[in-house]
Amino acid sequence: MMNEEYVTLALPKGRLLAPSLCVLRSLGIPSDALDEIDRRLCVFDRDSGFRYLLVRPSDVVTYVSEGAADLGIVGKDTLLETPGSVYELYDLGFGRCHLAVAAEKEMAKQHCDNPGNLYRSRGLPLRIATKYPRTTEKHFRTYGLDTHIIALRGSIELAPLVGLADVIVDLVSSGRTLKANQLAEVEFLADVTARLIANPVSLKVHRRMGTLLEPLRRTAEAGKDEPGC
Amino acid sequence: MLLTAAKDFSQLTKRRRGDMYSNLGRMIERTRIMREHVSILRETFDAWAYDEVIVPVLTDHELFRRQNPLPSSALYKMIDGEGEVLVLRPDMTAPLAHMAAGQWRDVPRPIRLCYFGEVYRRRLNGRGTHTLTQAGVELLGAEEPEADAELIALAAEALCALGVRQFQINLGHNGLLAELSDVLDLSPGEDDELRSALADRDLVGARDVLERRRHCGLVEPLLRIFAPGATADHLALLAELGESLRGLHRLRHIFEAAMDLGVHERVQIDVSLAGDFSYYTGAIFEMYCPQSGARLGVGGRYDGLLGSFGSPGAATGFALDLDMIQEAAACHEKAGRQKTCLVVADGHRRRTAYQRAAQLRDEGHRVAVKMIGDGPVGREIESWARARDYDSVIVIDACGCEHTRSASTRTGGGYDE
Repeated sequence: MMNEEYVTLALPKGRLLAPSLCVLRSLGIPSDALDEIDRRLCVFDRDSGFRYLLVRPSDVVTYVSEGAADLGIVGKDTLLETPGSVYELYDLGFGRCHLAVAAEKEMAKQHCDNPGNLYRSRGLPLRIATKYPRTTEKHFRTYGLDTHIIALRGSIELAPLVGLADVIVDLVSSGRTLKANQLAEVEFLADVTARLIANPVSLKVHRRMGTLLEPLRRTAEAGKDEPGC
Repeated sequence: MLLTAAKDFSQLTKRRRGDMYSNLGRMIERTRIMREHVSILRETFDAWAYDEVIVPVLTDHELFRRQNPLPSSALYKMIDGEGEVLVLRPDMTAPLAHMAAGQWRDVPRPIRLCYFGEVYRRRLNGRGTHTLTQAGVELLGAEEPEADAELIALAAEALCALGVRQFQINLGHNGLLAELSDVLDLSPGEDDELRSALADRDLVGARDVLERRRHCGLVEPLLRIFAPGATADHLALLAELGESLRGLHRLRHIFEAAMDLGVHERVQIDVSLAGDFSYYTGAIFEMYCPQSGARLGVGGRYDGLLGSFGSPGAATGFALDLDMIQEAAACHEKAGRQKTCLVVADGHRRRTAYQRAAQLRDEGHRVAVKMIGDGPVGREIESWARARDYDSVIVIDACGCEHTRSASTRTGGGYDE
């Protein structure tokens, strides 16, 4: 098999890895190659003609947009931050959670029917801590508020507790983390699931893409109805 | 292949970012190639019966206020003695369209024109350059799909002639999305959603919008034409949506004409192209290099522009970005170039040296002459010549005998460090 016939797939470390591997297994890709992925960052599987890269979730888009990988699996939250650099092909249905604005429990209770009032009650500029500055900026633009966005890499829930921010924008799945930090959801922003993305050039010129994507599409369709595996 | 492509691209962007004129050798080389490309294109356009025109560098600001795809802040403006606002031409199309709608109103159509030269655009967001070197054609007064196909074929021939071996042409239609949203009966909100999803290449979002209109049962074929790699067959699947999709039928006709012209293998349908260019009214196409993703040129139909200058008429054209093309062609180009020689002699043999140089020039070589003082010619002349990128050195010694030394160590790399 010629080198160029390989398709490179970037997989995200962390919470999306296990269900991503499930999807690949359901496509009939031999699992011994996939088992190795935990230990090695780059795995070749000659039989299926795939090469897998294991990268940080936020780097998947970069690998794919720069052409180092042809395809990738990544959460919609990451894609919202980098629109237009890659093709978003299918909703794979797993890793379901949502982006939301959260604030201190008491405050959230007080303004539960009108988040706008809550934001205005905090004095301006409204300070918002988040891992998703672009999405946050876009959302708060609709309120026409003066905002100060504080970009953090992790432990976002800490920010309101120590007075770094008035509210936060973060991923919520079960809501347990929010609860444990005396926070409550104020406003829903967007649904998030895992997406299959593709490099625009690969999609046009890679000869195997057509035959590859069809089964993936069917898996994605099936995965929508019954998440997990 | 794609990994290599990514590497090539990173080198390419690095070279573009690094100052391309920092090195004299590179500047000379770029100029030489640019001139060569222009002369190749002039022949190609001429063979298709396009006549060359020179567009004034300073033009009336009014021309670019009507249907200009560039923001006003991208224009270089200045004020003349009478207080009129002038701009450095940001493109060649609007001035030509203005002439076609005015002074050339009565010239029998179609008019085929081509042009070469710089256009000036202000750096926005710190990216891009102040000048773009363009070569382009305009076909004025031809509205049939064959005219669009002719330009696609001409663009393909031009790129081949310039030695760009790998390129693709994406073909879209500016009216198609509006027509689709009519046929699918999308609300203005859904229409916005679909457009912004396509602009973001978010096919999942596009699918969501379409699935709300499940009754039409055409979600998959529609998504197929939204994704790259669609062909005329995919367009045919949508034919049952009816005659009202004029953009779609137009694209099919253009594609069929392109098949007859033998260039369809280069052409891919890309509906999402539609979003970018406001002044195009019909087919839009863009040429790009699949390795680097670099856009080599863009073209399309702009039937509304002449009308905005007071005399409605069909018009279509394209412009090639010669800087990007030079990058794309660079790797194939150097092998066939002429040799550059240096003739070295001491002062006593000056006449012999000049005669020999003239003779070499007659044979088609590029020749420079250097006189040195009395004394033997040592090895240092070779490194001197090598540093200046001569291919060979011809030394004429004190007795008038000729010695040829090769100065070239390059392996096709030429002027690159």
